[in-house]
Amino acid sequence: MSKFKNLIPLIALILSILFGKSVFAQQDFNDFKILQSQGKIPNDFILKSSLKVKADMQADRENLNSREKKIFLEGIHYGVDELLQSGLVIYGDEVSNYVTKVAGKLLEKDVELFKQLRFYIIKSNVSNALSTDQGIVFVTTGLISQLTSEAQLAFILAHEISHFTKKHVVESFEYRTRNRGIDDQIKQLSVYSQDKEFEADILGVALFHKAGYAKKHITSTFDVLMYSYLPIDEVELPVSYFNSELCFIPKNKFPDKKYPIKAEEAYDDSRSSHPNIQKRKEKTLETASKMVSWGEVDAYFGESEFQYIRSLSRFERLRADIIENEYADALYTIFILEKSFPRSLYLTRMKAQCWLGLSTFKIGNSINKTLDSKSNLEGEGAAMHYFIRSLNEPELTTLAMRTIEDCRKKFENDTEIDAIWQRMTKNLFDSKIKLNEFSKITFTAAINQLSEPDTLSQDSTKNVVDKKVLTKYDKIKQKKNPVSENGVDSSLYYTFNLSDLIQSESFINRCDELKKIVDDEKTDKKLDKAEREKIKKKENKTDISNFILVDPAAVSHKKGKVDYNVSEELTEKFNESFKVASEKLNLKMQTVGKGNLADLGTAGFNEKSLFTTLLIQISNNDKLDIFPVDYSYLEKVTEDFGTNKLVFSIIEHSYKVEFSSTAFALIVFPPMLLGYLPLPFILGNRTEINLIVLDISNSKITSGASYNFREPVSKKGIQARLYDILSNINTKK
Amino acid sequence: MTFFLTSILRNNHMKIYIVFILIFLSFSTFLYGQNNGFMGKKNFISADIRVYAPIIYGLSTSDANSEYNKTEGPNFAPKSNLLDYGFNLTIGRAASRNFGLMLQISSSRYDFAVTDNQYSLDASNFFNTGDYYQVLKINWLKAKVTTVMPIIEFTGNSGLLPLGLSHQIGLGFSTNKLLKDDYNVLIADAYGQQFIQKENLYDYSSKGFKSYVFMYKINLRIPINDYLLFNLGFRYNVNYYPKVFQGLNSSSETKYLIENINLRDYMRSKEFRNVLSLETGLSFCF
Repeated sequence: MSKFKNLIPLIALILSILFGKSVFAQQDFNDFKILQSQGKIPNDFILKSSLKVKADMQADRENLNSREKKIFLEGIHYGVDELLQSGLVIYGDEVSNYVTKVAGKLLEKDVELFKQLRFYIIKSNVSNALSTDQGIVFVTTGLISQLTSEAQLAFILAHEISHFTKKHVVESFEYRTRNRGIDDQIKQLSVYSQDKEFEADILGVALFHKAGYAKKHITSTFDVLMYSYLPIDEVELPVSYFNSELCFIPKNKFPDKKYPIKAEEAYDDSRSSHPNIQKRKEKTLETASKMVSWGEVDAYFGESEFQYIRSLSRFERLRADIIENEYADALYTIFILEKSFPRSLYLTRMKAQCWLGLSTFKIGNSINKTLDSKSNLEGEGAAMHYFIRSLNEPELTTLAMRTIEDCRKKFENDTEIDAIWQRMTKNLFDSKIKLNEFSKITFTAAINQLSEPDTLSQDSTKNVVDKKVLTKYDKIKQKKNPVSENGVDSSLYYTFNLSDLIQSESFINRCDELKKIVDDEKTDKKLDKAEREKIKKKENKTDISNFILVDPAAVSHKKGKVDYNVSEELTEKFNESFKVASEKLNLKMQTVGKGNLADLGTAGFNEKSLFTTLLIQISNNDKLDIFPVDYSYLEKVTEDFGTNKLVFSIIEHSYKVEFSSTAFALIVFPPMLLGYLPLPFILGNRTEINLIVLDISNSKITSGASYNFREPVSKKGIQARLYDILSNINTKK
Repeated sequence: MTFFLTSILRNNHMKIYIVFILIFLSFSTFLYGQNNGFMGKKNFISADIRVYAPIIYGLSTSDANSEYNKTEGPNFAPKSNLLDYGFNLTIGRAASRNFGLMLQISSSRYDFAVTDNQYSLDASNFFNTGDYYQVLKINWLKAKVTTVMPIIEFTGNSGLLPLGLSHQIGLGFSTNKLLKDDYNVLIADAYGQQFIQKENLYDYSSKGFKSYVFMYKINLRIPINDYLLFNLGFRYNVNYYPKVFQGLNSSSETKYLIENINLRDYMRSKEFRNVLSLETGLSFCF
């Protein structure tokens, strides 16, 4: 028996090899971890763009002359590299690996072609896939989240691979270069581009057919493309969705009609790069019908693996929605996902984040930025937009607090939800609601107690309309205004929704804390001008004795266009200058950027993506405070780095000699002209350094500098400017 | 299903994020920031050379009776006056990020011509023999200018003196003095006999001609290392000779060929048409 026990691991290994298609490590969605890059960092992410251009310049491009080749290669390499470094792209993760596997199946008989391709995922809710001339195929999580089968993914990949094999990117460049200035260029370009799309569809079908996938998935793939702008499913949002023992929402807050789906397959595509779906579908099916011996395969890697990969992408949708402030969309996705994953910590965190975000935007009078306009409402998801729009500030803030409190109760020890709760209480405090307006009993209890008026305490009845004193006119108004319900003024329903919270010790303590902060702020306002100036000086200061420099960037312009090579050199100078300046000021600087990714590896790449995402999120929120979507991950990273200060900076340089109109006037008096002439040459340099310090602990920009100067850009000059900026920002000298 | 790259990139340009945030949060340049000078150094000593290219002067004096070069014998070889030069020594301090004070001592020399028409220069009185003498050609003369000047320096909002681009304005005091040299004058007597005269041409004992100098300079300091800055600037100088400084001998019975008051006018004429100069040098910061 003991001998047999020793064989168990071996048997397990053999089984896993034999049934490898269905045996794969899955993450638990109750404890979902966001998709991050895994494994060795690919060269695409670490090689300098200039080196890529140089290497590709050797390759023959028949129809392009050397100048055109350079413009083309710079365009594709610097452009794609910017996307690769944007914080949105991941590699080696479960979804990328799955996409690679499906592509491998498509190209099983063309291994050489497969070896030329790399497959990466873009974390974006835009449903899209794209291929580049250098052999990278990108697929967005948004697209995968909308698919219903592995075969659909295979068809989309086959289409993209066909674009690559037919070299459509370079052909389009060539076409644009040769046809500049023709009449109605957009229309002509559209015709040309649509031809390429048809070609990719037809070749894609052939590849798809060869791989043995079932023909029926072609039509359904076009359905995905047609309706992928809608949420991941069409499920009716029940009017009782937000109701619970402690929460009541009147029905009239929900729409009383359905919003039709407006998309049409035969839309006008005369100025579009892609033919309309109807044309593509017809042409592709026509091609498919000519092919014989269609396969029957829906999924080579199993339905469950596809479902798993799609769920990962659907969870990622939430993150992308929150970054873009699409809270209503995220909440609708959560409503769908929580049916399958009711105990998911991640879904609960995201739900809490959404409500915190909504309340922040509402208080900041910017709620319209997060919601679809009435004319754009479509499908079942529209109900969530309609509902949120119908809430006024006290209603929305109260519901947000209610939901976040429920999330906190569900996961009592979660630090992220607790941090959201702390922020939400501050929002509640900052809103127009007075805490003493809240009732200590629930809405249902208030209605029940109405039937037994003697038992009502004075406090609990304050929002209850006394039935006995209703006049004729009150009754008329009540009839005209359906919010009045069972004798309780349901327009004040929200005041019953925090009955448990306002009596809890933690909430009372938090309110005391917030009150103290408000009192302190009031004292600040009484300060005289000199003191306020002093504070203003201090406000732009942060302790940056230890900071993380995130991907310092540089842009150099020449004749109005970006000079990529000089920009890359300037980036290195900028990076080096940061190092020298911080050393001279005894500041500890750790860099996470493209320049040192080869050393930092995948861990560094993931950290950079987290930091960049935080920056994106902040810039999407104008002046409003945000809660970082990757809060828990950032907490961990700051612990590893030993600091929570991020520095983002960019330098931009241009040289342009500009003669003002005065110069022409001076022609009449040459001596003055002679005196004027040197000035434009000296003043031609324009250099700008922009820098911000971001404190992860409160996700706020604590310091910033926008710095212009007109001397030629040199390493020492940048060092001196950075020395000054860092020295001025740092609180500790 | 292909190239959506531009739309993704448009939403994801690092610069856009940073600049937007700065605009939203109204972080300005360090208007309130402390003055760090150049790598923490605010004092500096500069040594610059100054070069003039007197093109305008050269063009406008082409038909003057004076000749630029002297030669042995009665012939004068014409040559253009391409360059005048000088040097400055300046000590300064950046009082704030945008404002500095300097004190400058400068010395420069230039060549100038006796620009009167040759027929108006009659050397008869000069020889005092009763005969008639005619001045035919006169060497260009050399002058030395010494200037002491306090200067204020200022920059725009993003200034970081002593580094970078700045504007300088100065009002100083200068002395222009004729340099003693082996000048020649070609003279012809009533019989057409030509000869060279070298002595008693000018009054070298004069203490010089005093003037006020107003200066504007646009200057650029580019760092070389942690201590040295390379300077490059264009300077505009205007001299004013007030009457109170004149005190010159205007007697007709002068024993010199050209009276001092005329010399001063020749100098002023040169300076007036030689407003622009290029300055370059090094600044040591401490």
